[in-house]
Formats: sequence, C-alpha cells, structure tokens
Amino acid sequence: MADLDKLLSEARDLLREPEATPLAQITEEARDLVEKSFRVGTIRKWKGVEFQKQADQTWAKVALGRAKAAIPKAPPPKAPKKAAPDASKAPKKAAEPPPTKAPKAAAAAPAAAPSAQKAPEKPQKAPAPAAPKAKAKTTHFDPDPAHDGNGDGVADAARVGVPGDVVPPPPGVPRLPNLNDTERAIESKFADTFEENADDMANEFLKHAEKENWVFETDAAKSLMPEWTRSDLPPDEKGKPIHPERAVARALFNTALHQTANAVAKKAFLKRLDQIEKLPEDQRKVLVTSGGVAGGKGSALRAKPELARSVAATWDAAGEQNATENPWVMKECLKRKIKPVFLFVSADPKVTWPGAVERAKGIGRMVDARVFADSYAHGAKNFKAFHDKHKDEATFVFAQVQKGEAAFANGMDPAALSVDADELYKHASEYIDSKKADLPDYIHQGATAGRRIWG
Amino acid sequence: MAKNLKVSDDDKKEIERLFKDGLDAALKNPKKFWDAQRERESKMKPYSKLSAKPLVLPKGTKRENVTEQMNNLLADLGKGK
Repeated sequence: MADLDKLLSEARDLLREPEATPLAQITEEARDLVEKSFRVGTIRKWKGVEFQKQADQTWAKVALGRAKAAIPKAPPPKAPKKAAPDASKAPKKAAEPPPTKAPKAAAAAPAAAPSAQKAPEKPQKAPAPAAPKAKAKTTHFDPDPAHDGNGDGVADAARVGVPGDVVPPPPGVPRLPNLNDTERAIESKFADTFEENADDMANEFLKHAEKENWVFETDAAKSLMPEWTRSDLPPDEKGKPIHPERAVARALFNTALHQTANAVAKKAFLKRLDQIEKLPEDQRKVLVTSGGVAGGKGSALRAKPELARSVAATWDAAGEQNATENPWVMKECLKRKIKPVFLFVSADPKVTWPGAVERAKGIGRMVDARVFADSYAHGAKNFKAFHDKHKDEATFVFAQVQKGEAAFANGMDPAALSVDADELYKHASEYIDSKKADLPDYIHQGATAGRRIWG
Repeated sequence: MAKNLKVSDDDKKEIERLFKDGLDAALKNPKKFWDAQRERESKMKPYSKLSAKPLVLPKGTKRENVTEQMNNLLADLGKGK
C-alpha cells in the first residue's frame, strides 16, 4: 500500500498541472502512469494477493509461491478484414502427376502472382471494394512438393512457407489447409499483421539479423510473435529446461507460423541484398545454405560465427523449404552483382530425425514428420537440379556428415538422391509413435500435425 | 548482367574450412547450440503490433481473469486507501 501511495504521489508531481486538476482525472492519469511503470512480469502484492503484469497490460492473479503466471482470457480474435483472394490460390495437388511431368494446365506456380491465379478448376473472385466486410472465398495452400511449373528443374514450392520465387506481399501469405481453430487463429494473426505492415515487420527482422551477423533464417522470424517468445513468462536460463508453456506453444505453433515467418525473412533478406549491392565488389558475397531439417546447417553457423562474418549475409534456408529458394536467391544476386555461395549439407535422415525429436525437448520447436521427410527427399533433388543448371555461374559446396564429421565432395551425395519421401515419412511416423509414451504430448502433436493438415 | 558470380578459390576454401569447423563442433555437442538458440530466441522482442493484439494460447491453457478485480483495487488509489 505504502509503495503504491508513494508512486501515486510521484506521478502527481510529474504531472505538474499549473491549474488544479480534478482528483478523478489525476487518479486516472496517475493510475495509467503507475500501470505503465510496471514491467511485464512484475509481481505486486495487493491486499494479500499477488498479481503479475501481463504482456497485454492487464494484471493476473498468481498462485502463492509464484507459480507460473496465469494469463487473462483473451477476447476472441477479430475475423480478418478481407481475405485476400490471392493469398493462397495455389492449384490443389493434382491427381498424382509424375514428378517431372506436371501437366501445363495445372502448372501455374502456386500463389506466385495475381495473374497466375487462374487455376482451371476454380473461378477466381475478387472481393468487391465497396463491401470491405464481404468475405471472399479462400482456398488453402496445398502444393505438390514435386511440381516444377517453370521447368527449371527445381520444384516451385514446399508444403510450408511461401513458393520459392515469391516474396509476399503481394500476393498474400498462403494459408495452410486443415488447421485447427487455435492454429488458424495464430496463423491469421501473424499473416494478417504482416500483410498490413510488411515493410515495418521486415525492417524489424532486419535489425535482428544484423545482431546475428546478418544471418537470415525463417525460424528466427517466428520470434516476432508474442505467442512464440512468450515474454510474459520468465526468460529461459542457460542450462535449465525451456519453460513448459513456451515449449508447448513452440511445438504446437511451429507449422502454423512457418508461412509468414518465411515471408518476413525473405523480405528482410532482400533489404539486406539492396544494402550489399552498394558495398565494394570484394565484399559482395552471400552464403546460402540448404539441406534437410536438423541436418546441422544452422548449428554450424552458430558454432562458427566467423563463417557468417566472412560474407555480407547468409540465407540459412529452412530445411522445410526443400531447397526451392535457390533460384530466387540466384536471380536476386544476379540483379545486384552479388556472388552467392550455395552450400548443401547432406546427412542421414534416420539419424537426424531422432535428433530433431531430442532437439524439441530443448527448444520446444518440433517439425512435422511429413515436412521433415520432404526436406530430405525433395531437397537433395532440387539442389542437384539447381547445381546442374548453374554450376558455371556460381560457387557450390557439397558437405556431408560422415562418421560424425563434416567432409566435402564434388557433387551431391548419391545416398541423398535415393531418399523416398513416402518411405521416410513412414519411418519418421513410426518412430515418433513408438516414442509417444516417453515424450511430452506436445512434441508428438507437433511431429504428427501433418497427418491432419495434409492427410 | 554478370553471369559469372563465382568467388575465388581461396574464398571457397575458407568457407569450407569455417563450415567444417562449425559443423564438427555442432555434431560433437549439439545440445550446446540448441541451448544457445533457445536463449537467443527467448531474448528476441516480439513485433509491437502483434503484442498489442490479444494473445492466442493453446487450448487447455488455464487462465485466470482477475483484471476487473485488479482495476478496482487500483481505482482505490484515488480514494486515498
């Protein structure tokens, strides 16, 4: 009580109104000042009850002994003002076309540009501008990860993220199919906000990348979401387990957030390329990593910061993108006369999948098994095709993990090219099911979300 | 438009050397780098406009709403209590 009275008194001094201000007004202003003076996470005792400041500026009662903070009930999220019809008009997965011979009729790059929205099986409807509340029909993003619409040898899109050659907006951020209510709410919150504030959000992420030696990675962009960082919870300490609420959120929301996170990272990366274009020629180099999920690309960069510092920027591609972004990076580098070094890490997915599960216990984030399998099967093939086409124009590095150590080769590891997506997915699914009893629920849910999302 | 954008052999070798060092270290002690990543992620600030919107939490998260009670208690400030 005494503390709050003192704060109120100080707040009144700060106001220094020349004329007498009604007590009720001072109270309101002082209350605001007092409220804002408390940082998120602060615990105050009031009349024998402890309250903790929440991220949304409200206070929530906490249990005695400072158990984990309770979060006030959030009002239901508003429906998006307009559902951008371009957002996810990818042609639905065709009836199992052969990987290299997709029929032209279905060959429009998924959600590539408004002009490419003409999926033959669905008429497009733009929302009437005069009726902003009219909800346009949206289709969800469900590309065939083997589909190569432009015939460059590299598939156009992975199941998650944005298509390789696209940097929204425009078009809008593609939305995943078959998300549950919570996933849809979180996907919409992130995507809608990005579509309305794309440049600003990209600039925010650019600042983060600068602190990380100009490394751009999609997963890091997920931290722009408060539901991911959960800064209302105590920060994670070195050597201690991740906060359980944070772990749950990351495992369950990883897939739903991936679309927008990928868009943010790409947009920010382009901004950095614009900066690099102005550097002296000998500094105009970027590193581009590719390889399956949990293959070690990101960890290698963190373990050796000199690597990122040796170039002007690093596009640390998410394994989930199946190396579909390399043509885009190449194109953007060519425009700006920047030299890209494309590096591929191949690893044994039957070793890295248990690693990904183990990693999830530490960091919370859990990749879906289907997306994992694709990253190995399609990633290697896409990278090889890309290398075959551009080997005389750019620098390529092929790294492999052999007997627990990195080794280099002149080309793609043949074993990497022989991975079958369906077989690996079956293996990964069986593995995660066999470990279900030993794992927190949220890890199993995160790893198997694809069963619902893609069937 | 320049089509040959290869880096020098020395640059390539340097990248390979640094990457090998990094990957070897990561393979020997992956947990160390997962922990570092987690620590980094937890320090990153969310985007302000996203923070201003209501939090979306996984179903089943227990939440207590005593905002009204707290606001009433804070309003007592004006009454000199």
